[in-house]
Amino acid sequence: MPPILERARRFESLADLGIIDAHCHVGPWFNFHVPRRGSMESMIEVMNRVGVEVACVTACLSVGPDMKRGNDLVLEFHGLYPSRIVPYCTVNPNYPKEIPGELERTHRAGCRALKFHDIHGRRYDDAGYRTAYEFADAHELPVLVHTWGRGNGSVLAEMCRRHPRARFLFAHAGSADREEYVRWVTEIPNAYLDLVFSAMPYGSVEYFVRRTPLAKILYGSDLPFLSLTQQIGKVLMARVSDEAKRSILGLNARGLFAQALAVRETTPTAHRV
Amino acid sequence: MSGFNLEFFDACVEIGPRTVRDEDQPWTLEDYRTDMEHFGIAEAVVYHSVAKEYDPAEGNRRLLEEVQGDVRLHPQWILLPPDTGELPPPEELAAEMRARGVSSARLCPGQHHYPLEEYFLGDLLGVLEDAATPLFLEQAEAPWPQVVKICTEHPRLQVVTTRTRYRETRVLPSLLKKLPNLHVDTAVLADHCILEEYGRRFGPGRFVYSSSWPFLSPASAMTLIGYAGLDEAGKRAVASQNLRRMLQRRSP
Repeated sequence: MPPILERARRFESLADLGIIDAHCHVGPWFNFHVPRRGSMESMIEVMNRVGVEVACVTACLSVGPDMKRGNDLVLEFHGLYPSRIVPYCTVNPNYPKEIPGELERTHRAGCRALKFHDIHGRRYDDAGYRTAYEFADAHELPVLVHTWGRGNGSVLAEMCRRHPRARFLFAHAGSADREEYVRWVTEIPNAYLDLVFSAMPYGSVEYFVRRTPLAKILYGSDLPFLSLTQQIGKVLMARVSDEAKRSILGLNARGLFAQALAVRETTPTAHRV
Repeated sequence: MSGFNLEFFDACVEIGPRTVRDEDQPWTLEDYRTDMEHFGIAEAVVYHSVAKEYDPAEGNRRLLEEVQGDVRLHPQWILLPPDTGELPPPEELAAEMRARGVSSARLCPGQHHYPLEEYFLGDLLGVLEDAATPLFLEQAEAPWPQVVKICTEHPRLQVVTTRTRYRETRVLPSLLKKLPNLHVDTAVLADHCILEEYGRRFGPGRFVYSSSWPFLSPASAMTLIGYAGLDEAGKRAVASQNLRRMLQRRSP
């Protein structure tokens, strides 16, 4: 097989690489127009074109105002595309009474990953998250958390230390204070990073590969907030080994999302792709 | 997919030393030539950092010295409001650009501290328009209402916004629908399905590939185009043909 750089320069399907996109959403958004309303169908089309096997998805609706209905949506899509979609249960800390039931309900339905986003207006050490941290720790779940440099990242780093059995994926490494991301994932055993950023500075993939444990770096696109096709280029064409690219594009996520990927094997197939 | 080759013509490259620089960030023309090989970039429009961060006259002169003899590199001069007298008068400037093979112009109104307004730039914009010399503007320095005025008042002037931000999707449809002389680059145009959606609505002729080197990886916009849901003709248009056509329209 030719090197991944060569295959990317010819825009070949990369389906054989087992690519897992660890950071996706689904649906429209309030402050810009998402073409094709960010529909699941449009996402699956793009995934097929590039050769992305699995998308880990949290609904824009639950990142926004409606936690429960958003979680319902991703479970619905998981039912439609069980082999392609890993559903996140998104937690809105402003509804602390609803959270225990939501965690149990979505877990029963197949969610094996959580999502936190401080667009909900609470710091990551806010009491509103407590049940979710405890749940993630008890079930050893991965938690995708929106970060943007040391401001919210340092709070999350502390929460990683307090919940050592949960595993935390620091989103948007490289957005700001990239040396802090290196420090967090190097020093904290249950800290990981993803590479989502609309305008990732030149050489960022090489920067993280040189300085952090390779197994801690995951590919994510933020699809459909961002374009999967745009976000994957920096990994495919980076000046790092093909072994590193394979790890970032899928192998590392296969470990982090092992529980979720096991669930999909037992989920009834409504619409296999 | 068995794959296909695309030729890329890069619309936005800055070479030269910069006031502020990350340690591992490239900057020399040789660095860019190395990246042309690695990523597979055939040609590029290039301006000089010294023209942007120090003095356009000095930087434009250094640019020509550095790119001389490399037919893959298309020099772009950074210009100023003509009344300051820092550069030759517009007609003279246009003749010099033509004589020296400078095929496009760039304005940096934010960096160089002047309003992007007809009042200050009208004479210059008129000359660029007559000479069919495309004008490049970094979107962060060119508020959309001012871009609308320039495109409207100079309808034959081809305008390219570079580092055009994603999430401009509540604005871009009106601009692309009403301003046929406006083109946007793809360096940060990271919206889901934007090329296929806007390509269908406004035609793929409105987009040009750019890397925004050395600030960003050239790869992101390449895979945005190469893996887009456009037909191959549309991809070729965005990757190279639109920009080449724009630069070749210049008066002899």
